[in-house]
Amino acid sequence: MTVNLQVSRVSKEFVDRRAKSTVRALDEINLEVQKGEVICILGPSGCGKSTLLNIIAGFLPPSGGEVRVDGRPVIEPGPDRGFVFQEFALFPWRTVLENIEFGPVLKGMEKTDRHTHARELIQRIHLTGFEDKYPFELSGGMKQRVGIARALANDPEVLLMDEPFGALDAQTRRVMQEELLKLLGETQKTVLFVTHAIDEAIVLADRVLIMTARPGQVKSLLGVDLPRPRERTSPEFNELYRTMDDLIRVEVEKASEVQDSDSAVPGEGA
Amino acid sequence: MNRRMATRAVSIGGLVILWFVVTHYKLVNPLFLPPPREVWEGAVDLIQAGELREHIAASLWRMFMGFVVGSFTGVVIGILMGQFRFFHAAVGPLVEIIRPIPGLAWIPVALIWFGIEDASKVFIISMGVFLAVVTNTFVGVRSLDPVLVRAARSLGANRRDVFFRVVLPGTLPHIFTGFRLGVQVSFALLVAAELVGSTSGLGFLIQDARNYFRGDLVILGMAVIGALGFSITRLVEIAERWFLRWHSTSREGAFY
Ligand SMILES: Nc1ncnc2c1ncn2[C@@H]1O[C@H](COP(=O)(O)OP(=O)(O)OP(=O)(O)O)[C@@H](O)[C@H]1O
Ligand SMILES: [Mg+2]
Repeated sequence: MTVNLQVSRVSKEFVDRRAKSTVRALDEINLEVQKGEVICILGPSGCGKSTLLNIIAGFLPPSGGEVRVDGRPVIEPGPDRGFVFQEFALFPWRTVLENIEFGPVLKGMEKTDRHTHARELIQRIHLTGFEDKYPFELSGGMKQRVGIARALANDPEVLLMDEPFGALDAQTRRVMQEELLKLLGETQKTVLFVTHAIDEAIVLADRVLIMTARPGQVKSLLGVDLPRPRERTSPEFNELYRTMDDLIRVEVEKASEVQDSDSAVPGEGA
Repeated sequence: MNRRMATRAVSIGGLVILWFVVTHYKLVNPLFLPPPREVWEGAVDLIQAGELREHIAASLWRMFMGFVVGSFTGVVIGILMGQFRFFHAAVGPLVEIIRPIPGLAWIPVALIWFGIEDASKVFIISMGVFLAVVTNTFVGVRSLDPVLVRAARSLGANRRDVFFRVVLPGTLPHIFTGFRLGVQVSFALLVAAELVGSTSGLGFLIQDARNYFRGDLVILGMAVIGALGFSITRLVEIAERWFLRWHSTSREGAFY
């Protein structure tokens, strides 16, 4: 097995110039991900999950540490790291086909190759017949399928997904999870998947990373050694669920304390 | 659609009939409102003399040039203001100082600077169009969802790609809002400028006819301006609907 993604001692501080304060979002995160591995990231709100993904994507520079993909340090966004956004972020002026072709066009892929490639992806996400629809004509689930296909069209090394199913209803979510597993089974992508849903993490992940309250650190990294497809009703599933739930609950409580102390104004109170 | 056309025909036809009735039974002084037949004959004369075509051409040419100059500079400066804080800090205040000056107030100075030929009208119109377009473009750039830029970057877009493939199309709905406003403004300004100082154009036609007590030609000039304004607004709307066919609200926004 080869290490595909390496996060070494990554820290992030946000400086608020006006308030003259800094927020420590991440504190020395270390993580090594093997090729083809699916890592789900869980943690309380505000612990820095999105920040971590944004740094890996190259959207944000880290305050310390570095990220390497296939040994190359990350300095800016690039097509080797596909990103799937919670809010879909499809280009509204491009059709389904044109959205998926965005990366290949930039790569200079020839038109016929590009079309074949995109149509194949469209078929795999079950949107045949919707090639020429605009995003506003699609449901949330369809939009995110396009979001995933658009990222996969570049054949990236790593797929970064920030709560990709967070805006979808529970039914659609389940379907999308299954379809994602199928897609990933076919492509063997390395995936970092942020979620708030523990069951989603257990269904999808090879390993689950649980983060501490802010500043985010690696609290624990748990392997999910359940056979696939995973049964949500199995005792092993539920045991793992409880274990993770306990770990996260502690951090969520800590996070709410942090927030209370943040908002407390000195000198005020009874 | 057909029903809409029929309704339109009825309402315009109704107005003409009313006009006919009012003048036929001498309900108003013909000096104030000449009968349709007179206007029609005046129009035929003017068309046969080739004068109407010349006035229309002169007005359209000024509007077109003013629109091109004003919207081009408006889009360019609006995008620069939206993209670069420095540029916004430098140019923003200038725009804000120019904005409250009514377009009409530019007419005297334009006549002094550019004379009574085309250049002064083009200047005034481009000023009005510029103000309408620059603000909307700026707002459009600023309200572009930054997540789209991230999406593009992670798909391999460089800054140039981001500009042409994200910022520009993403700002287009706002740019079109500016264009629509610009068309309205440019009509008002064109006619006003031609009324004040000109030797051709529809505004001049109206003014000239008034001097010779040719009420028929005054009405004719006004009707032509109305028809042109209507047609050009429609053209812009059609262009907008085509360019923004991906924009859900451009359909919802149209009332049928
Ligand atoms: N651009 C920014 N400027 C200042 N502070 C920021 C910025 N982005 C994030 N933060 C802060 O960093 C911390 C981590 O934010 P982040 O969005 O990574 O959390 P998260 O784990 O993704 O939360 P959620 O689960 O709610 O999405 C938060 O306290 C947030 O307020
Ligand atoms: Mg987040």
